[in-house]
Amino acid sequence: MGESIKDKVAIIGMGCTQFGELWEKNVTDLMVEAAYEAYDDAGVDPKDIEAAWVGTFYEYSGMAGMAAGVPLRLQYKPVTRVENMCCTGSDALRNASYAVAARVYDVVLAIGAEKIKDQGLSGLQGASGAGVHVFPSVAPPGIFAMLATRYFARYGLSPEEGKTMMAKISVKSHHNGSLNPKAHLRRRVTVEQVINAPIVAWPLGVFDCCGVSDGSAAAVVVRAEDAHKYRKDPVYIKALQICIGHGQGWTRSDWDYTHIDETVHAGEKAYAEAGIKNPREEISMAEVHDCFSITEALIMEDLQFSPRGKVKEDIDSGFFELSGGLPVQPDGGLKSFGHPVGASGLRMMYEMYKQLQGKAGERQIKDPKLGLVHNLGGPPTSPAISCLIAGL
Amino acid sequence: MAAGLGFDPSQVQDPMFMTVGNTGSALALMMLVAALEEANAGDRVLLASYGNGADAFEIEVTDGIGKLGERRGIRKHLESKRMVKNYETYLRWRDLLTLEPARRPERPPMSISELWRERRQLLAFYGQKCTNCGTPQYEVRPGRVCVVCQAKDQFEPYRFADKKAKVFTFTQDMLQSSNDPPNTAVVVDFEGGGRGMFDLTDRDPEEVEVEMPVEMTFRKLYFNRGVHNYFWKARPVR
Repeated sequence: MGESIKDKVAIIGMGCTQFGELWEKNVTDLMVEAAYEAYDDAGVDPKDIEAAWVGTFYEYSGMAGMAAGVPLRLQYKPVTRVENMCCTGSDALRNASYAVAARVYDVVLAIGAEKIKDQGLSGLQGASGAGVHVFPSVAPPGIFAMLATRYFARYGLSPEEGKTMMAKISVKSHHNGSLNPKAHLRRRVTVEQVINAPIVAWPLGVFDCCGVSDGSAAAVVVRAEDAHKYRKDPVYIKALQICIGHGQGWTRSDWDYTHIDETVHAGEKAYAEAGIKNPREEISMAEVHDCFSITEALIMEDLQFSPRGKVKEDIDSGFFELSGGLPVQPDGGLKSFGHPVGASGLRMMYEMYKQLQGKAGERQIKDPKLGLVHNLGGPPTSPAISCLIAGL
Repeated sequence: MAAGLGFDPSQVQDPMFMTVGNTGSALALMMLVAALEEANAGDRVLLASYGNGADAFEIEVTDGIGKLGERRGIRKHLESKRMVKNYETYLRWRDLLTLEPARRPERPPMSISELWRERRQLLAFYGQKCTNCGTPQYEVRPGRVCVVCQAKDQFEPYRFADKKAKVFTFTQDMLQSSNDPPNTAVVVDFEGGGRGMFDLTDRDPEEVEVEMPVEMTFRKLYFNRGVHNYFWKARPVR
């Protein structure tokens, strides 16, 4: 076993664009805005960047290292494209962190971006290319909706009870997003609005689904011992874990569809790496992959924030609200901030970074110590899950 | 034609034009199956068909006919039919009604070589069973390494087509384009082990529930760029 990454690497600058339907911006605009905000925040010159890891899921957002090399004019620098579906952004940060920890480079950039809305589609696009296409005719909301159907059945929730539980998750995230000038969907909603919204894939309605957005986010990463040369409040990496599915979810009949093994594993390993014994008590705040409201509910249990089968009680008590014991999605989450696939993992870290530095404005959580990022890529039947922990 | 050959109308098998329609090259053999379902040992059957040419067989039914056992055949398939709710649904299934396409990605092309390579899974609906740990598993692209015990290349073919199954979870999808919205997709667990995600067809969306018994049925999913896409769907047990 290798060493823990804890306190070996620091983030000294971050940037994040406005997320949304950004008709007047192309992917170069997005990457330049995110990267240059990160450079300015870190106090580094663009020429100081020695290597970069760029996350894009869709080839139209940029392929190969040139996805970042061209827009950022990283002249003759090593750049690697990372792709791990919706988990792409956090994996770009993970790879960049390992490179500085290995002392191969001193100052590196992790950046993710996606320019989706030009495609004119509802929701996200899956695999293309010639092949065998016999998978059921369902879009991503349908695949995740099956978690909700089973969760309701397992815990004896009526459709009304289950939909109310999920609605409260979205109401909380829209509230937080309304306080965030960079969020895509900033209107507050009520439980009634969420429950009565048109169905996308039963039992998920429109407000159970996250926004699909254009956007970019970036981080400048150095070794921990160098961090104070750049700023007085760097944010240190405490854990970087990723866990990948192996097809068990669509082949094995012993999976219960009410938890996600990969999240459990990534969480346990991240807690071990960071030395966390009681996540519910020790984690100050989290940005998790709420692609759908039900996904967030399961994540709360899988990350040990709530006991198994009991997340409803924590939702009802407001435990995950900004003023609660463990605020989740303080920036609005995928639900309200939006979801430019390759950028989302870095957007989550951007909020943890700003919160830890006390710069989250109206959304500021009191005195946070540790922030957790949970990023999910692919279908819940066999996802890529990364679990990153950052702190002061 | 039968009269011209000197047959009495009572000797002629129902061509099923009113119950099934003209199924083309399959029709003669379907009529033979229907005839055999009512046949007794000693009966003689003339099977004759024509198209661009003609052929004829004389078949004598033996006492083996009684040993065939329970089959769905023609009669039970006809008995289990479900009426299409309205004319619009029929038109949509037959692609006779042009609708505004959903704002979803176009159907990607099918690969002829992959359809051929994976024909055992796609057409015969075979999966495989690990001979090391005994786990049945179905994937269109079958694994080489067992998903449970990680044994490599220790599989025997395993037939899923005739296995009973139950709905483990489901959704009713309104986003993806559909001939028969909502798209009901189910995760099913097969009796004896194995799981898969399939379209649920011939269903009333209101009746779908967790633990509902289903059976598998071979269907044409769609026709795209010159290729018929055949695969299996689940449906409520009839």
